[in-house]
Amino acid sequence: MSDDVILETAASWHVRQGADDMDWLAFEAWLEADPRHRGAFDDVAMLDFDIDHHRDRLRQVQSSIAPVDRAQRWWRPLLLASGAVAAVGVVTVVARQPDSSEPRATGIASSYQATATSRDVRVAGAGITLAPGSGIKVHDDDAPRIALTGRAVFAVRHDPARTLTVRAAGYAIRDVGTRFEVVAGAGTIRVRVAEGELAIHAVAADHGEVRVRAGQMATGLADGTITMAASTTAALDGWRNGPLVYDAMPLGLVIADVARATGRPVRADSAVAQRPFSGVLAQGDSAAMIDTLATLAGLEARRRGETIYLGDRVRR
Amino acid sequence: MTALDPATTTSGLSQLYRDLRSDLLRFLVARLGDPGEAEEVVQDLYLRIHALAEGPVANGRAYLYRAAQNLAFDKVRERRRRLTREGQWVGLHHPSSPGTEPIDRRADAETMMVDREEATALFAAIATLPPGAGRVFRLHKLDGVPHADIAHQLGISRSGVEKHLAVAMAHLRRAMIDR
Repeated sequence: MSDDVILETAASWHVRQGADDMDWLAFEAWLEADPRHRGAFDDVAMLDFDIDHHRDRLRQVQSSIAPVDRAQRWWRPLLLASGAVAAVGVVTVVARQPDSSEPRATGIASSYQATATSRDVRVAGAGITLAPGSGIKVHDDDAPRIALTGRAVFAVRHDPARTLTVRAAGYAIRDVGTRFEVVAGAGTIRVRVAEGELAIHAVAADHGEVRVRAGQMATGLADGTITMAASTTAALDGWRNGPLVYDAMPLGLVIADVARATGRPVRADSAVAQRPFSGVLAQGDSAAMIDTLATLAGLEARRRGETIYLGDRVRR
Repeated sequence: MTALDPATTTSGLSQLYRDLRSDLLRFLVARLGDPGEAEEVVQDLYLRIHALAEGPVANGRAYLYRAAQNLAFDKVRERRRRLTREGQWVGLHHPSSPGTEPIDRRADAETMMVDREEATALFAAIATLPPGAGRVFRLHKLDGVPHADIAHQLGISRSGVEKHLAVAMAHLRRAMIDR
């Protein structure tokens, strides 16, 4: 085998290793076949490590996604709404900047918070199950608006006269009569639809509305891009009594979820926040949850003050 | 991830570890080329499973192989670091004294400079990727989009995504040696 062929084969093995159907025995046989194979694989693995190490720097100039100015993205909904601010209530603020002063809102506003256990709420014509540590603010009138922080399952009956909007992490979800789950955190959102159909768009970006139908899930990243995939997990609120199941969920969102479930301050390093994670975490002891997540995702947990940061293993 | 296997609990994972220990060890010997290091890693893996307390994982076997692979990579990095460090000591005509930690005494500025040069070289190399491979590489490695989502977005198969990524990694590796 020429060195080029060895390098290409090493790279193929490397990119496949995250897949559940990776053939580890065939990989082992390939490593054993020639000592040069191991060296080539090490080279590719080191290169991959270096790319991750420089990811933020490279991303600034190489990203395939047109970046949206954070500040602009933040303020634009407020500016556009201008006169209507008071009436509309612009609840986006809640998810993105919890410490900001809230715009004054008219209509009936109420908030609900789930603490250590999940909580069922019936409000604005919708049945809502809040995951531990999650909360909603509700403006209930002809066009009810719900601002979500955290994770919740919604069951909404279709009513053409009253369209419900859910806002979280800079995204707006317009309901068309459906059962769906929203997980929001760290500027990122994951929406899974079990029944019916809904529409989602980034509040500040001009990417347009995306329709999500039963059996689909949409992931919205902090820059306003939305990707779609088939939803492979069945129950929407399986986390109620069981483990948290993640299917290619951005790590920032997974970590925000763990922080809520455990009540511990856990955060994702920005370099890993958008990296997808698939796996299952048992709910329970916070140290065990964080450790399991770190091991499964190949990350390292570091403590700074009270906060635990999960990031790539430090290069020394 | 396609269908989820029934979750394996940690006690199940320990059992699976016992069942797979010799397989994992054989894999690690092949991966590291050093039976001593392989034995260390397989031990370390055992300790880590026990530290997990009660976390169930999907697909226990893939999980154990991936964890072994991650730990083995730590060994590889350790080795390379040692080599670089020794190389640098020799290059600087400093006596190498075992037991001291020279890396701490090396100026941060130098590390930062090497870092920046490496980033610049990677940047240049990424710019020369073939269009298809470059697009998939940027989506996955820089923007963190999962393989399956890229396949969906670009209307290609998952193995197509993997092929593009492998081409990109091999290309970048060559570019980084040739610089």
